[in-house]
Amino acid sequence: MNDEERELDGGSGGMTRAAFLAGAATSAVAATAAALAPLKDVTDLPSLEEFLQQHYKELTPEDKAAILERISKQVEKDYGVRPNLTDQPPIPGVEFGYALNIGRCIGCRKCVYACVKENNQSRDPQLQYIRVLKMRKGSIDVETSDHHYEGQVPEEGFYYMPVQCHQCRKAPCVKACPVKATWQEPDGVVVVDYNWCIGCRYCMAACPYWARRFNFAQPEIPAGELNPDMGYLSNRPRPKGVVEKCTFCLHRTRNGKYPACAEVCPTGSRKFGNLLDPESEVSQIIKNKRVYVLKEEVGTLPRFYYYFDL
Amino acid sequence: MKRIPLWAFGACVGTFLLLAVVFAADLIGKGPGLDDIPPLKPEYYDTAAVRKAPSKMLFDGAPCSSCHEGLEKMTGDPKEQGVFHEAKKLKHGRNQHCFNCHHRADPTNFADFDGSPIKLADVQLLCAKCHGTIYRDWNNGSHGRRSGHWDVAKGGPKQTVCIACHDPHWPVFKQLEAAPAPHTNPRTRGPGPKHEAAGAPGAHGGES
Repeated sequence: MNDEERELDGGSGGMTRAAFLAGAATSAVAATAAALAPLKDVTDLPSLEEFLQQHYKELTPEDKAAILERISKQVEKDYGVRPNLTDQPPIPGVEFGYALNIGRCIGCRKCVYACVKENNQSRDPQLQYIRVLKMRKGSIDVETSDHHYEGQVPEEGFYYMPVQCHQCRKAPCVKACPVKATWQEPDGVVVVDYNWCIGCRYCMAACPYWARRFNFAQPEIPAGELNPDMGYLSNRPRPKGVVEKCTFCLHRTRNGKYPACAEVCPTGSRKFGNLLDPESEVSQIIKNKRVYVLKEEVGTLPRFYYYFDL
Repeated sequence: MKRIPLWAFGACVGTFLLLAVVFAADLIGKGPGLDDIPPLKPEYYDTAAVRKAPSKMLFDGAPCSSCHEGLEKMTGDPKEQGVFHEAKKLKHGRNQHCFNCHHRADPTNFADFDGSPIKLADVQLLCAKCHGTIYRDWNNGSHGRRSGHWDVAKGGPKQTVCIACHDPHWPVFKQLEAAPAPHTNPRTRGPGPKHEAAGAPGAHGGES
């Protein structure tokens, strides 16, 4: 080792600890700044009003009116359409129920896409509330089902079982939510306050039907495809980072209409109505048909019934 | 006092600056690329019934009366008697006879058990001759399409008639092309073809 090297290695030619730390810290700041640079693209920060908004159940009618107006303006700005945004209250004496004829369903997935259209679900990344399981005839084992089938349906030897939110009377998702952002409405529909949801996804883990979806990215809906008929607790555009789910198309059904999935079904397998009305389709089906609920053993008491003719 | 060698300083600063370049130029990237998700086509959510129920009895656009005067009863099998009707495909169970449904003397109408006519508008009564249980279910809502309002106070449901879904001559519900399968995020499905998700049947030995 010559003199010069010896000097660099620890002689008087080195640097002081303070100078080293100063240089290292400066470059570390540069690296951190570069790593955090993507944050400058964040544009979806909530406004102050949105940030300070109370839980849905604590809102006064005036608060609600102001919020509906604020959201309408935002939608108009983002999509160029003035939405018909309402917060329809539950109808007294009505408890919604759904019945699905698995003997008639052919698995065409029209319900899936009618739902996507009606409820303004994100197209990319794709988000769907209904999952159609292709099941082998004679089997009720959902683990061997296939939901990625394509082509002509129905296939010989299979039946199809669409699964969506069962609007359980004892909903595990509602129990799991740590901030009470999801609850059951008096008409039986489990809803989410998208402004209160913290995105922890406990409800998704709790749901035995895999009925809840999380917006991992900003939902993307082409402006021309937005459904302007909106409900506050159902299909208004959702922000990134919240959970959403089937609401039986609250904005339609609380106005007396059928949900979009029932309206579109080409085989008429989907039946919807008021469980408290003994003359309604669903009541008649429960009374007269062979009915079963999915995963009865988990004790969720769904309002969604599967039936078949025989 | 102990002094820190310059090479150590260079290595430390160099590492941080290299990291800065890696982050700034996004050299690590964003993982697997995203697939093209098929756009939502209007036919996927079209609420029309699979067929159009005729509102008038026509054959090739012409009313029955243009050939049948309806004065005397037709006899025999129309398919054997000549032109036009022989092309009709009849795959309706054991129904091999036109006049099981069509009226012999009155071709614009259908025939009830006692020979009285059933109008096209009441075609469900014709179907009910054989399909009594389905007719019962259709009436109380568990068979067939309903649209409009579940709430009777708001107008009530609109029933869809049998022949808006079933071809009366070949009534079995035909196969349809399924709308696209759900898209699985490439970051969660792992390597392999597009639909080979972790939970897909292939992975569990199920059918596919």
